[in-house]
Amino acid sequence: MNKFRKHDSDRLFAGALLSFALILVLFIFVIISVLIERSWKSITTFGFSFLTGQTWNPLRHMYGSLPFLYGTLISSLIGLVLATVVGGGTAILLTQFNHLRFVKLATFLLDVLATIPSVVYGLWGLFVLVPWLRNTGEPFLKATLGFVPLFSGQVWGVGLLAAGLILGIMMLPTIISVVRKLMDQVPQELQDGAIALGATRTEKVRMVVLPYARVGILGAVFLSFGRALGETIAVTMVIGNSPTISSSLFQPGDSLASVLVTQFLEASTHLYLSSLYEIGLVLLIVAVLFHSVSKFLVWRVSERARIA
Amino acid sequence: MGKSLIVETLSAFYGKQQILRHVSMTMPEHQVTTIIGPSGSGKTTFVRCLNRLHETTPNAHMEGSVWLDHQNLYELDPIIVRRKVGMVFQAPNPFPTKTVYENVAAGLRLNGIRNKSIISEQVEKSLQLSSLWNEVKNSLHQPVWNLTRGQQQRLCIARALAIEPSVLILDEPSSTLDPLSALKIEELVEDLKSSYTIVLVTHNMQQAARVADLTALFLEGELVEQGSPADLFTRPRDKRTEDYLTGRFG
Repeated sequence: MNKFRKHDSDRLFAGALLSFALILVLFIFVIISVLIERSWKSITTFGFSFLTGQTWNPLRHMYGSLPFLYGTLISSLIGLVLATVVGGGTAILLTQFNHLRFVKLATFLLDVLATIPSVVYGLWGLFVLVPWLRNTGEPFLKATLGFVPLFSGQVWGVGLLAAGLILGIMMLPTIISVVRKLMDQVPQELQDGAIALGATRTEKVRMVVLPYARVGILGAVFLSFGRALGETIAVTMVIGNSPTISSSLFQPGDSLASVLVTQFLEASTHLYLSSLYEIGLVLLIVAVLFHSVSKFLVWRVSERARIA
Repeated sequence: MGKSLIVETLSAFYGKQQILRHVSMTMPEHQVTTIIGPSGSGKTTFVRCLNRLHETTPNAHMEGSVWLDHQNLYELDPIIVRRKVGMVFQAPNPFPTKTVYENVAAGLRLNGIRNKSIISEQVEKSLQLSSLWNEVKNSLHQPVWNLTRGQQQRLCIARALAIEPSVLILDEPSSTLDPLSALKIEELVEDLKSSYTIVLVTHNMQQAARVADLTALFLEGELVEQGSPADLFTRPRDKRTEDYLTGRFG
C-alpha cells in the first residue's frame, strides 16, 4: 500500500515537472513562430536581399539589414578582443601573481562592475567615453595608425569603436571571473612540476596554465561574444545610429538590437514593422547559430583533448 | 655530477605553524638517502625546501640553510636552484597538453636551448636513463595519455634528468603505482645513484631498507634519527625510532 502511494506521488511530481518543461518548449515555439509570422511580409517582399541589402531607408521603403549585421558583428568583435586581452591578463594576474589584499579589492570591484546596469554604462559611454574618443583617443589613433583604413576618416566620437569599447568593458567581469575559475582549477601538481623544472611564473603560465585552461577560455570567450551580440541599450547610446557600412571604426553605425529598440515606435507601415520583426528574427538566428558553432568548437577541442 | 647536499638547522613554516624544527643532515653524493616517517611528519616539506619549492606556497617560509657544492642554495636565484635540484612528485604529473618528447624537452627549452639535435640527443639520453626509451621510442610524438601511470612516472624522471641536475629528489614516487611499476622505479633509483645525489621520500620501510645507503626518520617535524638502514632498523638508538618501527607511533 505504502509502495503504491509513493509511486503515485512520484508520478504526480514528474508529471508536474514535465508540464513546466513543456511550457518552456511551447514558449520557444511561440516566440519563433510569432517572429516568422510577423516578418512574413518582409521575408516574401525582399527574400534574401533583406540580408545583403545595404540600404535601410523607410521613406523609400528600402529595407536591407546588412549595415546592422555588420555593426553588430564588428562592435562585438572589438569588445571581444578588448575583453579577452584585458580580462585574460587580469585573470592571470589575480591567480598567478596574487597579492592577497589586491586580489580582495579587485574581486570586490569586479562584482560592482558586474552589477552596473547597462544603461549606466551607456550614460558613461555617451558623456565620458565618446567625448574622450572624439578629442583624444581617435585623433591619436588616426595620427599613429591612420594608414590603416580601420583608423582613418572623420572623427566622430560615437561609432563602432565606442560601441566596441563599451561592450568590451561590459564583458570584462564575466570573462575575468570565468577565466579565473578555470585557472584556479589547473592542478597544483602540474604547476609545481613546471616550477620544479626551473620555470619562472611567467613560463609556468605559458607552459602549463594556459594550455590546460584553453578549452574553457575558448568557451568563456564565445559565451561573452554571444552576450555582446544581443546587448542593446548601451550600444544604442554610443554607436551613432546610422545605417551605414564603413571601413573606418570611427564612423557611426548601428546594430540589430539597437535598430529594433530605436525604430519600433516609428514603424508606421506594415512593411516597416515587418522588416523590424525580421531584424529580430535575424538577431535570434545569428545568436543561435553562434551559440551552436561555439558549442561545437568547444566540444571538438575538448573531444580532441579527451582522445589525446 | 652528483654533489653532497648539506642541510643546516632548517625550520619550515606555514603561516605561524612550524612544520620542521631545526633539521640538520647531510645527503652524501652518489648515495640514496631515504626519508621515512608517518604522514604529516614533514618529509615532503623537507624535500620541498631542498629545491626551494616550499616558499612558492602562499604564507610559507623557512629558516636555515642548504648547501650544495659550497653554495648556499638560499643565496642563489631559486630558478637556478631548481635546475640543480630536480624533483619527481608523488603522483605522475606529465604536462598533459605536451607530447612525450616535449615533456622531456620542456626543461631544456626553459634553459633556452634551441638546437634541435642537442634537444633530441638529450631527450633520448634521459629516456634511456629512466629506462623508458625502448617503450616510447616509436611514440615520442604521441600524447602522454597513452602511457601507463608507471610509464608516466618514469617520463617525469626523464623530464627531471634532462636538465642534468646534481641532486634528484623523489617524493614517494611509487606510492600511487602498481607493485610492478613501483619495483621498476626502485631499480631505476639504484641505477641512478652512481651519477646523482638521490633523496627518496618513502612510506614503505621495506623499500627504504632495500635501496637506501642512509635513512633518516622524521617524526612531527623533527629529524629523530639517521644512519645506515641496517643500524636504524635493527639497532635504533632513539626510543621514538623503536616505537615507530614497532608500530607504536604514527
